[in-house]
Amino acid sequence: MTTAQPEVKEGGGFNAIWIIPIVALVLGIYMVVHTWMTEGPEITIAFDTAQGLTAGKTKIKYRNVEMGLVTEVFLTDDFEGVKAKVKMDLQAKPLLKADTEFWVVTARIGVGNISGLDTLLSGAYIQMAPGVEGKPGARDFVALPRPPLTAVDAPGLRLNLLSDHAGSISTGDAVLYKGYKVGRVESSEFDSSAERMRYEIFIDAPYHELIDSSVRFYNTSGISLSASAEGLKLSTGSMDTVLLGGIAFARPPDVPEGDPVAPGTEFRLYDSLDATHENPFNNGTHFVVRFSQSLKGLLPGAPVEYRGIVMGRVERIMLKEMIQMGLEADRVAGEVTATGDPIPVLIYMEPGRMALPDTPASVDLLRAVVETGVPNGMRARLETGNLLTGAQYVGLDYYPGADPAEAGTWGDYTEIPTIGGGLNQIMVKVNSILDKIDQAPLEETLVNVNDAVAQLDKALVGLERILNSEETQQLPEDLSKTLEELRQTLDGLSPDSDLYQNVNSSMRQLNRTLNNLESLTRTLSGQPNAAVMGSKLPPDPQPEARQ
Amino acid sequence: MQGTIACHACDLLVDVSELKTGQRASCPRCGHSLTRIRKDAHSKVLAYSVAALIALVTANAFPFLSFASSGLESVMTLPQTPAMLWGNGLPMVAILVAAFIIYIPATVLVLLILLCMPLRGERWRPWLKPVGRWVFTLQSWSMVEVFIIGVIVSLVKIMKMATVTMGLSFWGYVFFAILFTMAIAALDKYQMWQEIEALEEQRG
Repeated sequence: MTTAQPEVKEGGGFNAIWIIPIVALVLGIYMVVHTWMTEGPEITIAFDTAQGLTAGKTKIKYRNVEMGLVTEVFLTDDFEGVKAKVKMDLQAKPLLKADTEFWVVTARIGVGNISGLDTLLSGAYIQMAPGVEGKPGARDFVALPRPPLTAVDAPGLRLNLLSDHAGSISTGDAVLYKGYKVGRVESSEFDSSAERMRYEIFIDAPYHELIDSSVRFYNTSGISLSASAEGLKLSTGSMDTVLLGGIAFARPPDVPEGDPVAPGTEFRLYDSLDATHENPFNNGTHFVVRFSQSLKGLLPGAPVEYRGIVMGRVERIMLKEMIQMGLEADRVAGEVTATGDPIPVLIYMEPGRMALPDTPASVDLLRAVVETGVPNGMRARLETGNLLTGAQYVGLDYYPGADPAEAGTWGDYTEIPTIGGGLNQIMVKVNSILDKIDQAPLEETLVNVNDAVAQLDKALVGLERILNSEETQQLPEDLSKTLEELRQTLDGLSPDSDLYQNVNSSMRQLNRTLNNLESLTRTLSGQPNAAVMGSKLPPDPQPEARQ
Repeated sequence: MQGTIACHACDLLVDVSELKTGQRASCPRCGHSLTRIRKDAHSKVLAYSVAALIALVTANAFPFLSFASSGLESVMTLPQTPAMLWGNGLPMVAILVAAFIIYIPATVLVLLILLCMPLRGERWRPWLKPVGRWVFTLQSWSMVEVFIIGVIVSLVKIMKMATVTMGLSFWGYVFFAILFTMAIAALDKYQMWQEIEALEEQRG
């Protein structure tokens, strides 16, 4: 009987205790890998100054969610700026595009607003505005010197306004529509090449739908006082635009809606609301009118009216062209001649103002009307619009009695003949009246007047003699006597007089008689036969009660 | 007096020479645990030590705690703790804290590995004796548990004033503290010296 011996091996096998370090290792590796996987990109942001930036403290925020942390702040190699290294979160990765913007948010106190007060406690942070262009993956950025007024991706419409001068508009000013703020001025800069101001404005959604090609922008800043042919005009915007300046837009009345506009479209910035009204039409034509009277008070922009309805405006006085034409004529003639030619004025008329469609066809119609109207007496006349300011305007009307004329041309423009008028004509009339007065037979009249005065004098002398005569002097005395007699007569009728007493007793007797008569009348009406039978009657029989 | 051990609690001399693997000897008078022969004792110590070192390294690599109060936020890592103390003008405290919570425990763990590797393979190494001595000397200066308790006590107080978030490192450090304690606990001082003595005699 043999017993089998077991196979014995030294050591070997896996000791369960080694699971612990393996688990620790796996966990450690997992943590490292997890951290490495979730680690966001490291970016560099350039600043002008490190104000408010602290390594390890300053955060990057987007919509108030932390997106990263400044890990290092250092001067650039040329000492011209500051760079901050920022460790971004992984979720910020898709937001980092070429046009992503960064800026430091600190407490700011502006004229119209106070912002970033929370940073007083927490310290400044860096705000991020995600980009929209390009692929994610940008790593180097330049911070904005101040917060942008509008986020890059904010819905709305960005437009450019052009103005000849700066007015009082500055960055951050409101853009108003009917007095309500719908946007703001984002930047203002002087375009030195074009010699004009360029404002970038942003209209918030949904108000950007109000903008089309027909709207006009104008400056509502401050207070504007204007004197024109229509009188003095004072206009102000809302209180804050008076203080801070602002831009408003409106569609001029009677202008149809225009086409939608693309972002970045350029608009002209008018100086005032009135300025937008004066130039709301795109189609118009020029005419020339020539006046041989004083043009004092006729300013560019003055209205051109047809029977009081504004049809256009004065563009300018064409002095330069006139001089050139005169010089040319002198050169041809070979000698200098001064003839006192009328001064040409260029006017601009728009058919749209006459409720015609704002189209080139209407312009042709207007020209046809002028060309046929002139032979029928259409004339331009210089009129005084405002006696106070002396402003003048050009009026058009039909004068059937005018000298016959045709619509000619002057330079490149059609000329409308003129007729003297306005204040000038009144002066002519006043003159003629004065002439007539002058010619009147004044001396003869004076002799007649003198005669009349002499006769009047004689009549007065006669009257005086009558008044001074004896009879006339006695007249008051007689009158006094008569009055005395009248008074005595009246005294006879006084309550103390006999006559009065007699009349009084007679009246009393009459009264008594009338009273008696009244009782008789009553008896008669109750018993008509009393006059004959006396008033006593047997009593009526009374019914007796049976026992 | 081969095979005898004086009880740590009551100083009774006890003969433990008959003790076998997997058995635990206790003092017959006071019941204090005297020594214990574990199976694979050195493997355990080694495994716990390696795991504790890994945990310590990870605990140093990540945010330990973050405080947030009214917009102010502060994130701290473990190595920053002494650095911050140093920066606040407490260099001595900073050195002591750094030593007690990071460097001494790390040194102990390295020494444990140096000690247990040869013992497990039953090979003599000249550093066994000094290392064995240093392990127990340094071990009493390691204040990992004290630090954890201190952190927890402070947190309870700070939590009222600020929002405190524990980072990955905090849990890593807790894990390290448990493993560290287990590694120390797995090493039986008496048995270790017995084995070192045996190895030295074998060689000699």
